[in-house]
Amino acid sequence: MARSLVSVLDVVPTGLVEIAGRAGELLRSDRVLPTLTGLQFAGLFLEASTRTRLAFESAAKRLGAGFSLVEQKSSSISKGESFRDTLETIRATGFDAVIIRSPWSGLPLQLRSWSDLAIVNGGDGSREHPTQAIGDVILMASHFKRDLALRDAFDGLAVAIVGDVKHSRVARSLATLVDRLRGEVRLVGPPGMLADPRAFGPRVSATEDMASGVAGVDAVYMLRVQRERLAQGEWASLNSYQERYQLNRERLAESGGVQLVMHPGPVNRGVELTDEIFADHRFVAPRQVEVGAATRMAVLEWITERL
Amino acid sequence: MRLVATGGSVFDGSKFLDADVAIEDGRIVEVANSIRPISGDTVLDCRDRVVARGFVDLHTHLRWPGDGELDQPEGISAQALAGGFCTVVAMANTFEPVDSPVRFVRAGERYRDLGVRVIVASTITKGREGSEPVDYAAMAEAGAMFFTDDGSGVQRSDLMLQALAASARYGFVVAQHAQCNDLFGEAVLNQSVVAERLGLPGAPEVAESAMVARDLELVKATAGILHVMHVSARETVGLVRQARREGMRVSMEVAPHHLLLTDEAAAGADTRYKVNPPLRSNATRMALVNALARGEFDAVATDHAPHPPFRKEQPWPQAAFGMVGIAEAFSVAWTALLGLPDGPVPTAFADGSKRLPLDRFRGELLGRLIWSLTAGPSAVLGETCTLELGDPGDLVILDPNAAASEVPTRLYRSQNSPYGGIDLSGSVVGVTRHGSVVVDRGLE
Repeated sequence: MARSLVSVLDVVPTGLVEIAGRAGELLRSDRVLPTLTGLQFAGLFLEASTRTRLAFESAAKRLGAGFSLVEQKSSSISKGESFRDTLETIRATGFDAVIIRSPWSGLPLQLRSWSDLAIVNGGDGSREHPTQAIGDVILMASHFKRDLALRDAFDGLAVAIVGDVKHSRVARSLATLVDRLRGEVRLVGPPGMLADPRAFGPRVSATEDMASGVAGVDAVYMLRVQRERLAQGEWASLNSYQERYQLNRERLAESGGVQLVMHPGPVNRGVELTDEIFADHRFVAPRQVEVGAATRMAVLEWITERL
Repeated sequence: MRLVATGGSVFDGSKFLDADVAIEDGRIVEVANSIRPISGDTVLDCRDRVVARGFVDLHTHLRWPGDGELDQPEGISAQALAGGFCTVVAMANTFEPVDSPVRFVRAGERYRDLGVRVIVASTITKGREGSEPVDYAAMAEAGAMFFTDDGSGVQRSDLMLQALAASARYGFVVAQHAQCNDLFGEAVLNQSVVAERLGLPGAPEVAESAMVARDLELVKATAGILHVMHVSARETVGLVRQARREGMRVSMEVAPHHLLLTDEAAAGADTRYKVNPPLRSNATRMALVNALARGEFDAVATDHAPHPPFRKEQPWPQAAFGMVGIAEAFSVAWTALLGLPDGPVPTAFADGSKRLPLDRFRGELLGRLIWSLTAGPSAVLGETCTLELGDPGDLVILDPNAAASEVPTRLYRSQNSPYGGIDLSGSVVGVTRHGSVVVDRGLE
């Protein structure tokens, strides 16, 4: 069976070290060798996502591989065709791996069980976004000088993840991976947007209180606010959300020793964080994008066993 | 020609006896300690086996008329017989719901020549849409005795009150798929860490029990007859127990999959485990198994729900709810009961049979299970299920000690069986219908 990256735990423990090492190499060098020449990736993008699609397409092409977008109507149930049939068509066409982005949680797990094709999860519903979280963990490890080869690489580190955790695939992947590396995770958000922390590991906790949630943490990970979600919940007003959960200079100062402020992008400036945070040297979203690009290339090499 | 089942322990609907059974012209003609076969008899050697009346399933989806089904009623009937069932209640949520006398009669005709006896259910509301009652008088006149909107719960209290009032007047059963839609939401599995990890919406048990609590109040107000389908919430068991103490006519069933499987099965996102009500936590599963052993359930009912792959191999929100399991229902429930630690049990069944190939504790458990597959569900339907002279020659022959084995799912054309790879204990060795052997898996 081919390697797949469907969940962050698929790369623990060895894949993560290899991917981090290769991503570091790629970041340091200015010339990229076409290591994946002759390989064909199918992009199965079932929800609109220009950024992620371009990121994977560019990662594949920089390594010399082909990338084709597979057209797929949102549902083929009416035609009496199962999703499994669609995947079989992709395999028979001669692709080596599928990069899938899905609005439905769990679909990459299903694809993996239906096919021998290598599957890369580019984000599924609110379940996981493993390449994002792996890149973020590589960045954290580099900043805090932690060796990812160690079982307890993040021992003593604490990360707060703030916002709509409930509907965030990035939060799920990140909390799971940081916990597995023995780091502490605090989920912070309003009641209707929190997730049950027991689902992600023993070192994950949840709180509705921003101040205590970020007190003493080393990194704060701000999630993008989905305005349409705010409208549905009890947090009907954006103002009341901002009052309690927006990251601003005062909150950052009160928290103590935060060294990194992270964000998966794109940022709603003035919503989840203020302009002054955006300009702060601890705000590393642009660096996350660079590390993310190198990570995706390393992941494509890893799943095709070219690493 | 006579058929004689010899040497077995016979469950007569209320207890085990050491008896042989003879069937002639489709009817039981003799039940006696020892019946000597004569030349020309078909003899079934039932030593170390248990003989009972063919099972009754209160909850089968026969899928006719259907929409792109792989399994037709004939096939499902054969699967039911293989599982020991000789009578099934066909759910009304077919492609055209059974909501009028014409459709009720047509379904009855379609099912008349199947291997199993079929009791056709009627919907409670027109089109199963929950907004308008069916014509209860006309449906009762046409012969409907079991009403259910299964697949959906009746949300509106006024409609449920009306249905239960009609039930009191005409004497039919109102079977509720208890589910408050507002609490259930868009759920596709149990509310749990499994759902949280998968990022999928989960349903809490209270989405079921809140509707049961309401329905019991409506029973009090009407003196109607209520049956609670596929119980999956701990609180439901207590609510129904209390209602019975107060003398209400309430019954309930549990599905085999809720007795053996838990929400953890869905951790890998396999939609074969998408079922409604959802597979619950292990704590709830164990509570349901204990409740079955204590005799709280009137029936183990399969909720056998075939779906072709194009409806199951889909993303979670689109994939159909439901799993097959009628052929292995006995083994699934028996395997679940065998997981109970030895303990005190009421001595209701196993007292008088030396031929029963089980210890006292397991004998009682088997008695309870067989009761829940025969006399229990028959009583819900207002029928009896004894093993006496003149009763139909529908027998099931069980080997409760059959070694754990993976039950072949090749019987099903639909591939939504959750039991692949699971070792199940006990087996249905043979089935007779009207005195003829229709299932033979090692009888001779």
